[in-house]
Amino acid sequence: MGPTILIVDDDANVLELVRVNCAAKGYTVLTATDGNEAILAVEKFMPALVILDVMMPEMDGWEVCKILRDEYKDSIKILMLTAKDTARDKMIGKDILKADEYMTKPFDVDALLSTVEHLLSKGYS
Amino acid sequence: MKDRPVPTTEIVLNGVGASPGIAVGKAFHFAQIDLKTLEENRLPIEDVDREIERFTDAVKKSIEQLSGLKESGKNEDLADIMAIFQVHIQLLTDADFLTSIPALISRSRSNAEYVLANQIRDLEKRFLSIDNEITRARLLDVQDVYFRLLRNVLDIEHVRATPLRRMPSSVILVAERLLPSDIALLDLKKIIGIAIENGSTVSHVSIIAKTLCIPVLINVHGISALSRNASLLILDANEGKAVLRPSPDTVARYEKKAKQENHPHSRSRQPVMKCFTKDGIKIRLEANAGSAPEVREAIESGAEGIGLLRSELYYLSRDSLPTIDEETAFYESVQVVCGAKPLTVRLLDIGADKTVPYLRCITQEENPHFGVRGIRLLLRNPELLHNHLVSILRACRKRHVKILLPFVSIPHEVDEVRSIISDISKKEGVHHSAWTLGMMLEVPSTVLMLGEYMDKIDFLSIGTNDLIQYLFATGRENSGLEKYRAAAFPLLLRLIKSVVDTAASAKKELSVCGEIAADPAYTTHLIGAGVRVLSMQSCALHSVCTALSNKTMSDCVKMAKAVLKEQA
Repeated sequence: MGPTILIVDDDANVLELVRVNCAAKGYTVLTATDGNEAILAVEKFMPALVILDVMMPEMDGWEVCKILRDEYKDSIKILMLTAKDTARDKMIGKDILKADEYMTKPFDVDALLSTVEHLLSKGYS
Repeated sequence: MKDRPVPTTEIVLNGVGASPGIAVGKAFHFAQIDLKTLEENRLPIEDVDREIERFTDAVKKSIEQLSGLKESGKNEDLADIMAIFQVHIQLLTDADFLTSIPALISRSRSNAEYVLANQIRDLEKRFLSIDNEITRARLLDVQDVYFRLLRNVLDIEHVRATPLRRMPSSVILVAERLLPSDIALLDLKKIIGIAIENGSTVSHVSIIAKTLCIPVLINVHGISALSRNASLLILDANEGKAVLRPSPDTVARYEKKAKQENHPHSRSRQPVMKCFTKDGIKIRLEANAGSAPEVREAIESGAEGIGLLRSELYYLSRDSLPTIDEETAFYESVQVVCGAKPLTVRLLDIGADKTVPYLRCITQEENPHFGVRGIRLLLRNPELLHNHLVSILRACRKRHVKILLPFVSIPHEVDEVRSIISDISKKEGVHHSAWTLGMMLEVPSTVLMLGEYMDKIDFLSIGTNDLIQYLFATGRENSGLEKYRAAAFPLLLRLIKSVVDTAASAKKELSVCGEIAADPAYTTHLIGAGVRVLSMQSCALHSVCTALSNKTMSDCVKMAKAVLKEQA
């Protein structure tokens, strides 16, 4: 089994698309549809990577990212995958809240998988 | 929770105890949102008006948040912090600020956060170039409000509090530093200890934690990076140590030590009996308080009186100046709780780091700790002083009150206030025996020329926090000066001994009310130097009483002599 990835998105279509493609690459894939679920899943399964949407009800991706960085420091990789596509949004995600990578929707599946692979190889190098 | 294996070797980090006690518990990390990057990320903008609107919207939001915090902050332990938020609101409503930032945005055609972040950087440079610790300490306040504004411009203020909502009970909070607005977010009831990388023994967090008997270790460099969230951590603020990844043996040892040493500081406060040394010399233990509930707690904890009622905290807990009737009612409510026990009301000690926003008499100063504060400020504002004194003196009609003057630095100030009090007493029909007048010894000049005050005052109270600050030029909020504070004690004790001698020959009452009066490591020396009255936060009464009851007067004298000899 490959490393565990948690995908967090309230859009079922995106969730399924990413899940299927990551699973096909041999990763163990978990899913969550909001921030609270995501935090619970991290506590329970300690994934190597979290693919994180930003705009979600209850707890948004910015909040999840801050919690993960505060509580797990760099031991979990975070890839933001969001429709928030301004330079300011990217700055918040990467530079301020310290996500490892920031990709915007719509996204290219191959580019996503390549980023996932890159992040995970960094994590275990 | 599944977790990756971590090294199990114990790591001991050194720090400085800022509030005594030992805590054994799980670490909880609090990290501020790092906004440094904004200084370098200039985002060119097309729509200047829209950018200015983002700025003004963020200002509005910030003011709303601060007002909300102030309203919700009725916790009197946090009265000082709440007052700081009013100062933050003032900064945000400053006309110059509200015009200069939009002008800069417009001129540079840059995003609001870039402009603001660079303003902070420039301010930092200016503050840090001033060789003045107090001014530098003020920088924290300015940063605090700017950071809030920046988070609101970015619409991420909500992100800050989210991790704290997940804080479980009985944790040791680990942080690089804590700003006043961070402290307001914390649920202090859940915290059994605090470890911070930067701080000061007299910073807001240290003082609040002391009041609540929470052990605090400051200047624990590296603890944020080295400790893991939810991992076991030991904090020994008595010995200035943090133990990361403790072995089971170490945990057992510290749990035992905590039982022995924390007992008096535990939150279930046990009332103290009257305090005697082992050989039966009576030591009078009084309490410092700032509100009627604190006075009640002090009296219930066994305090033999209120040695320091900080009247400014009553002012700080309000949104507007109290009427004379309101203020009198406050003192009367305190008197009811005190019963027959003595009550010492310190006149408003504002200025310096404590500002009361609705009092327009206070001006911003370059160097406020050395400026118009305490009695200086009151004498410059006769109406404020008059109403303050009328309120206190009307309460004197029911029970005797000791009136304590803050920040006296020349004898004439005492003469002036005594004359005003006498006049008001006559007008109000308050008998002259209903009050006595004392002064704080916190400015070195008063200690050095104490003889000149002896026929002017009835009692003395030594404020060791400010006295150390002024003697050793060690700003209270500066974390890098602990070694100077630690080195201050021998000289301080020598000065206290000289004050004891002068006060004794003039038959004046003397008490010590600074932080060292609450620290068993120092109280025996104070008693050995001749002090017989100590005033402290009520949670320290038990530990001080226990420490003193285990020592004979001869032990105390020997300890004091050893320190005095070392100093000589």
